[in-house]
Amino acid sequence: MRLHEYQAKQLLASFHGNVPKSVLICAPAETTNLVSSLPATDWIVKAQIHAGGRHEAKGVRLVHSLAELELCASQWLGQRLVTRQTTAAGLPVDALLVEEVLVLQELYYVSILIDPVLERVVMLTCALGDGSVIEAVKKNPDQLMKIIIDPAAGLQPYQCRRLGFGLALPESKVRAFSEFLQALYEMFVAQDLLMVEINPLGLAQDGRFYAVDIKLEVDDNALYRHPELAQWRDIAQEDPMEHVARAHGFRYREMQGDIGCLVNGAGIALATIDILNLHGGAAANYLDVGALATVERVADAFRILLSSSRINAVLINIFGGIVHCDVIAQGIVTALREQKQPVPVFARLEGNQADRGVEILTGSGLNIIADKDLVHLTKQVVHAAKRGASTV
Amino acid sequence: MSILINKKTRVVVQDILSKRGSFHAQLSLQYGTQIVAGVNVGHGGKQHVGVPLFNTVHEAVDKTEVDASVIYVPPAMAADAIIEAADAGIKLIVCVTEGIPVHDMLRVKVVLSRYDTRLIGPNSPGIITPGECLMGVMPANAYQPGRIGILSRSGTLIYEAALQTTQCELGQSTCVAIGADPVHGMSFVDCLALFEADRKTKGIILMGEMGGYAEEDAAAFIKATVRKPVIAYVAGTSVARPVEYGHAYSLVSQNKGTAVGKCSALEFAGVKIVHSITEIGSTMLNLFEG
Repeated sequence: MRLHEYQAKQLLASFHGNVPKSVLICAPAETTNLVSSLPATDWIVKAQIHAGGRHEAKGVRLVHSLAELELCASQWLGQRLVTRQTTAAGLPVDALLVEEVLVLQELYYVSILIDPVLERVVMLTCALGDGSVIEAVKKNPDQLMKIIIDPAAGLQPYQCRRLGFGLALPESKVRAFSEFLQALYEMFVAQDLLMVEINPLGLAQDGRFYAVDIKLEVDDNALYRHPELAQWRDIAQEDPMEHVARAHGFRYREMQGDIGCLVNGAGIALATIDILNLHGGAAANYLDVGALATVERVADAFRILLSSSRINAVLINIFGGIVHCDVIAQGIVTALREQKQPVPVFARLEGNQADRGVEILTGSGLNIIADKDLVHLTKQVVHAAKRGASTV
Repeated sequence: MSILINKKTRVVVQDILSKRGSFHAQLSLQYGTQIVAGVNVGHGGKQHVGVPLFNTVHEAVDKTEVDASVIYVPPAMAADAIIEAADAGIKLIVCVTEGIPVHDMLRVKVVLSRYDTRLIGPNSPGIITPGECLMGVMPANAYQPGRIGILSRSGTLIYEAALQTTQCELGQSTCVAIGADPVHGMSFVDCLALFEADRKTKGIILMGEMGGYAEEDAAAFIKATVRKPVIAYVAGTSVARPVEYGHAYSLVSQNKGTAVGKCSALEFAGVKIVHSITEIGSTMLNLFEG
């Protein structure tokens, strides 16, 4: 789960990491009142969305007066922001973070994440100069430093010093830098984070290091022990179908095509998309019912899938392992009977009771073609989707 | 011969009283697996599905000489259960539990490195040596004793490969699903080494997926060490990578992890790539008969 910048900064501050003074504005009318608590009349305004690339997308602006800030609030709030890290639809802007302007002497990049090869927590740092971290690393790959943290020992002071001197910090600044890294690491472990990125980390005139921007991801599997973070979930920033599916315990992912896919398992989901692609089709989405499929769950899953508007045909690809295919077939029939204008459905059932399942679907009188041959069905579903697209 | 488990393997089920644990323990018993103990705190001295129960894994090891454990313990307690099994002297731990916090697994891996224990999973459907022993939730009827070793991360892909090799009567020596979590126990490489050394295994199928680096590592190992024929399918070749959030992941991954990249790495290692999920059995059969 991602947090908003303002939430992540609040969290970091509670671990004694420095962040700029700020206020959060959720409605234009609040502006005057809230910013009175901030010093000066120059502020940075930042649209709060769960994605990066806000600068290029003009979602971050320097304002010089209250009037300018109010204009910003009335223009941005309630709108959607599209960046290179969002979909074409963008994400809704429901809050603006207004921050003091810090005078920064140097900018750095710092992140902590779990390296999947090493299976260890690693910390990355890089000096930024004037450009982005990607540009800096491209120019000089040696600038990117990486340290590996032993989970038993935690982040060691010498590791912080190595990174600090590696960034060519003067000795007088290394202590403050180390303290910031320790705060960041402590938060990473205590809050079950998957990734935290400070980009940039700014060295200010007061000699302290500030998190100017922050991105943060929490392990969904650990939310049960962080109820305060779980409350911060902003479902407006998530795909609505994905959200509905998750509430039922299903996995859902939106794709670009027009064929809906109902599957049982993450691996078979990918394989289904691939075989559609191999035969000239394209998946609109997939919904993974998981291993614990029952008649009701399959029916629920199918209803959710059919509620997607872009579907011209459906491919069901189920491997009946422990679950019997006749149970799955009954779930499909239940959901499809309720549909007023059913799209053509093609179902590949394999494994346990596959023949019986195919029989149930074929004998249902509904617009379903069922078979055990996946290639044959894939060709038919691709053809049906093309026909569906041309009649619209 | 087979790898890791056989008809002599003596199994303890941790949380045998859970819905899933109980159901799959019964199916495994019917299959002929020697489940000789169950562990559930507060139920020591009782029996479930004909299996004696113990309060601790240590006690189960003392009384029943188990050497392998399958874990159905809920995610919040699963890390503890894995370490308990290792500390009790269990040599092979299969963790079915899905949803263990990744920070828990980081700690578990450090602890396990001090024990002579192998971990399969977590988030694994398990391991099967057909006709001899089933640990986990795999559907037994997709498998048949034979000569192919199968490896996968997730369940459904291994079932596909198993069923197809069953249908063309190659059968399987052992099938291992190493688990779908980013931090897990045995790797593809660990299993490939065992398959290469196993006399019954004549060919190997690797069912890969986009994401992570397991397939790239496997490719390097195969090129250097494996002489048996290997075929591979990698799911996700047509799936776009999710949009990035920040730069940290791409700085660490250096563009590895795509399904297409995995296919090239495996192909370079001499592995035959199967492009359609439906042609796994036939490709393996051709390799033997062609």
